[in-house]
Amino acid sequence: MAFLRELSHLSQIRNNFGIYVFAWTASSITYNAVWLELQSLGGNFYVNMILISTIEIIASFGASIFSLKFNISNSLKFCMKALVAIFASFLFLPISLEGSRNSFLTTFSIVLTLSGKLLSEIVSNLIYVHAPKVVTDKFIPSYMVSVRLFSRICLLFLPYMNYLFISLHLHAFAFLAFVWGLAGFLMMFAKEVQAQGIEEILNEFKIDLVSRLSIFSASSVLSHGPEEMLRNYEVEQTNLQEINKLRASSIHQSLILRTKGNDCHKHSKDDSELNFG
Amino acid sequence: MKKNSNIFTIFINQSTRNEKQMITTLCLLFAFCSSAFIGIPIWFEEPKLLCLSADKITYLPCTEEEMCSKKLIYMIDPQISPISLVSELNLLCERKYIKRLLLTVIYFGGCLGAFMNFLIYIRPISRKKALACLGLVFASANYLIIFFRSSEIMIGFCLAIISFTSIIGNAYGFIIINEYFAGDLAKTATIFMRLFWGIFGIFFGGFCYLIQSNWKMLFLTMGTLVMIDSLYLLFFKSETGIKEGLSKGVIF
Repeated sequence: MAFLRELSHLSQIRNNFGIYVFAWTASSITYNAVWLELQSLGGNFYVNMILISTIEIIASFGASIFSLKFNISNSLKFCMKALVAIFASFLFLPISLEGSRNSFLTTFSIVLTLSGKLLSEIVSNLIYVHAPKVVTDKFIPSYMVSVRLFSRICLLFLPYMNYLFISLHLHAFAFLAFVWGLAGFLMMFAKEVQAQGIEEILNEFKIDLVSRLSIFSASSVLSHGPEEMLRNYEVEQTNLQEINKLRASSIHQSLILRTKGNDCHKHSKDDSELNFG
Repeated sequence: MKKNSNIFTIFINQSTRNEKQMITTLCLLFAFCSSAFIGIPIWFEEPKLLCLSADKITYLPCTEEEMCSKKLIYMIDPQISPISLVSELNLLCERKYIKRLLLTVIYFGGCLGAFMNFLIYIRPISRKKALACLGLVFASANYLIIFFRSSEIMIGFCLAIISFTSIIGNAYGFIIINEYFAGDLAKTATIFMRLFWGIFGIFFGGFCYLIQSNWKMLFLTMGTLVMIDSLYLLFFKSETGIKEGLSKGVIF
């Protein structure tokens, strides 16, 4: 659980984590919603099933080309992912408006769903692949597990989407469009996190701690007010002067004592010399 | 290393024999574990209905909404209807809530499984593997229990355990890949897992068409496949290789 503890200190990882939790949840909701509504898409049920599985394969290749072949900067990759997600949301939207009422619209809705799903799957594949860019190496397993948990919690509401949307079959796609659009918009704010060692993370934590302390002290200054601070300063200065005076006098007295002591020591030495002599 | 290499060349050239075996095993594991969720539309496939017409002699095709709102006498078309849980347990009209309840139970099992991953992945790698294998054995046992016993409560309970164990097995693949592999090979292994999922989905769709969504046959087949995969994973010797990966020092 160190991951969740550390999240509160590492701002960029925390932001990325939040954004990718949302995107991953959108991905799993899309997958499960489309999969559950296979029958309502129209056409042959088994053909739809095979088509959606084929989409998964194409999306995997798409993600592999995107992540292995394109030699572009990671920030650009993040933006492209976001745009693809937003575009996917636009593809889901017409299905909710048109529906599968006749054969042309049935085919149209299947094609649109598959295209939307292809794009969303490419993004979700990239979310899987680019995990090291989102969080540091050390946290990847924790990230994977916690993201999965969040998406699973959201999926609990999927069977009850009927109650959210009056007629589930098609309005659910409008919901998917909204979710993907939002995921894409949020993904624009994700930034690459450099692979960090634990020392760097701790250093960042220390810096964070220092900044928090400085903010705390500044806030205390503001809350007390400058006049009080000046008064405190004057009191401190007078105290310091008194302390210095005391110190100086104590030094003076000690010097006197030392000189006296030396004289006594000399006298005693002389006495001892006399006695032993 | 070539920048423009594809996932297949990376898989062939940049991995050892042990790593290849490991990736293949994890891909199979991921695909079979996903079957718990791929199978949902098949198990709950809506039957084709025939409703008694106004002349009270002929049966005509009708939708579930028509049938439920007008309270028509109906029969399930035996020619084209799939043999799904909906037709078997009669989860139509007022009993439709049981379907939602079963779906919720499945997703709730998955949710618990995802939570359990937190507790499981702090264990050493050999124990993780043992727990994943144990989970798979449980999953296959529950598939077989559903095959033999088909009461509503038993089905709900077994489906929850199947989804619970499937999520554990499912996440195991990702965790092992990220603990053990790095760079392009990690990306390739992750993409391979999704690829296998797609390929498995095609075979699954074809198989469902062949058996006409006979849910009992489906449960039997899945139980057997998951059992074979769990045994393969159990006897697969990759401990020495995986232990090296732990030098990364993963934090939980």
